[in-house]
Amino acid sequence: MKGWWGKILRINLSEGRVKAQDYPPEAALSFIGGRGLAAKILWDEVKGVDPLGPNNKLVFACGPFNGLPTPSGGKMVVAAKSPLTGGYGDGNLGTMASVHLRKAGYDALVVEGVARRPVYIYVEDGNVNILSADGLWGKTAFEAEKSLKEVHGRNVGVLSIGPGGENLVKYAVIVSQEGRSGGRPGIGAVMGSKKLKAVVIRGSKEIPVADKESLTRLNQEAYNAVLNSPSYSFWRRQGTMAALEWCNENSALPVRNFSDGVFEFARSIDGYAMEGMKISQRGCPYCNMTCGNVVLDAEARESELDYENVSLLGSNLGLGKLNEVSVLNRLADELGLDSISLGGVIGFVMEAKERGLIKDPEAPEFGDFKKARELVLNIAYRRTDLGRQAAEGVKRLSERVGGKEFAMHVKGLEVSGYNCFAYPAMALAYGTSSIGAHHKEAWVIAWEIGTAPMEVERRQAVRYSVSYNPEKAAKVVELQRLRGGMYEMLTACRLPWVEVGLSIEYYPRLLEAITGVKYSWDDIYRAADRVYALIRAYWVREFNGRWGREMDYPPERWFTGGPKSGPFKGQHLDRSEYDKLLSEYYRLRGWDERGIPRRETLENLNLGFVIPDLEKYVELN
Amino acid sequence: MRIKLFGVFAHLARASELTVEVETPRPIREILREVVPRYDEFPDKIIMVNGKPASDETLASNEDEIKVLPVLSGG
Repeated sequence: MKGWWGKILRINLSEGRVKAQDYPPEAALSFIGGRGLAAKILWDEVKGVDPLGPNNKLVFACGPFNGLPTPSGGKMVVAAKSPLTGGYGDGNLGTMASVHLRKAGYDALVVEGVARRPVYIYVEDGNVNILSADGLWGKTAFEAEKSLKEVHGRNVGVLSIGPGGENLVKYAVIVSQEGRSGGRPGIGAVMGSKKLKAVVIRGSKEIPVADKESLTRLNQEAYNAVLNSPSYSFWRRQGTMAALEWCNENSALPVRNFSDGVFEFARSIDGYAMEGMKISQRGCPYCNMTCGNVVLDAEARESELDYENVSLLGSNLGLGKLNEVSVLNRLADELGLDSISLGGVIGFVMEAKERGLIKDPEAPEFGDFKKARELVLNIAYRRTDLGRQAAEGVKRLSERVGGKEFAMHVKGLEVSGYNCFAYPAMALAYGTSSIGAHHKEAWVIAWEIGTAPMEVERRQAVRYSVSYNPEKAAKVVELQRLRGGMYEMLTACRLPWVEVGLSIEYYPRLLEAITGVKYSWDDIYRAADRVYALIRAYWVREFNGRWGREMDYPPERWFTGGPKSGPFKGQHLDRSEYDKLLSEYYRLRGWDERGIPRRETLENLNLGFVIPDLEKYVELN
Repeated sequence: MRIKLFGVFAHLARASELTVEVETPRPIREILREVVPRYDEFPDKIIMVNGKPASDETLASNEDEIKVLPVLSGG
């Protein structure tokens, strides 16, 4: 096989056992890598286990693009059964660890068991050591990486957790290179539960490539296309921060726990405000359109901003000073907490306080930076009653204190930065995402606003209204195949395509140059559909078959009330119309009305091996 | 007409708001081509005329207010 090593490095921390295992070429061809490989491993090996127990497995999965010169191809998928949702959990991050893991001769690393004392793993090609992390435990992710690089040199990839992961905060992430992080659904907590502080990798092998000359040429072409894009220079100025003004303009900004879509202080925290504070720019390996905008925060420390963390830790908390928002963001990165879920949780606490459901004097109100800052620390270290409860995420917190009607999550994962009172397609994207309410798989809102087909009456009148159309479901499926499917399997960043217009045709051509395997668009879509169906089967099995279409509903808030201001004031989603869209989505996917893949669909996608196990929990249609 | 530009369009045009006079109604695309360098290289954009979703083929006259937003990916 070219492009894939066909090898998984397996480390059992309970037994201190290390093994390099071959996996069959058919798995590589069918699941490509990254998320596909991770989903296959979890389906096969992680069944009915406690997410924070020794039998959960932590998967670091790469794809054929990683470790090779490819457009923004320095990503890695981290996956496990999620302690936050109880279902399939993954995330991706850009990291030199991805480059080094592949250069060390592996496509994935799987960690199982639990160490007796804190440890870190050091991989140098074929040599693997499990070393004491006694001196690192308790350090922030930034400090841990710095210490490890002092010992092992700078030419390594480091993945680590902060106190959030150590203390099993349900939305702890894995961090790399001071600001890259991944694994929103608590993958950092899974790492913490294994007493694994960090993974350090150094690889020096040459990855076998089918057609090196074509790969070099295609990559160079793509690299130049990115640089020559008309969007490039503005992208370099603001990166994803441009979305703040955009969302505010379209009533889609999360404001005060998603109760509104327009923020009166948007201008103070938007991309232009950020530009005035920017001191440098950081990015992921192999990327020439780096998006990490580094500013100095209110405590004179560096903080790397993007749209998601500024919207969730800014407007969603009623905070209108970017240097204060930057403090919360930097703390989230250092402590290893997901900044999106953290903003969702604190926003919920603020609204619960406003409504009298939480009476704790330590609980912040909207706009209270000082108490919000303190709460971030209390969550990461699980101190104080409020901190411990908030560390469990919005779903569990709302079950305890009340307020389910304004608990902003899907399947337990907090909603990222798009407020969807008026956007049913984007709500559907959140509802049907593989991990819960995350936007990465189908960011359909721009299409929905600008290019979606409109009902006749909306064309004729100057009127803001919510618009439904079956094409919206089709668009969500199309984007999931590309963004949640292809990019997550390769594993590459989608931003060159979506932000600066790099032709998507480069990707199958690059894949062929690397692997020698010609994937048609049909093949790629089928692989993506296979992964979506497998992940859905995983959820159904891990929920013991207790599954219904309500699992794919967006938060209750979007069906009631509507935003408090702006042109969409008072408008909200209609449940029966949403249900129609959801049914259309299921039909396109070949899933039944419960949202469970049909037997025929599983067979057609070569997922027949799933059927006997799944039938123990549900009757298949 | 008043033209409000957002994001990359404001960057390329070096202005976020413009006033343009036309003698007869003209397609928005023609006007934007003159205002925004490399405008035709953007396959997708969001155009609103007087708050109503429109395309850049829509005819606009002096009384109209036009908003031009880029299609982002949202990270």
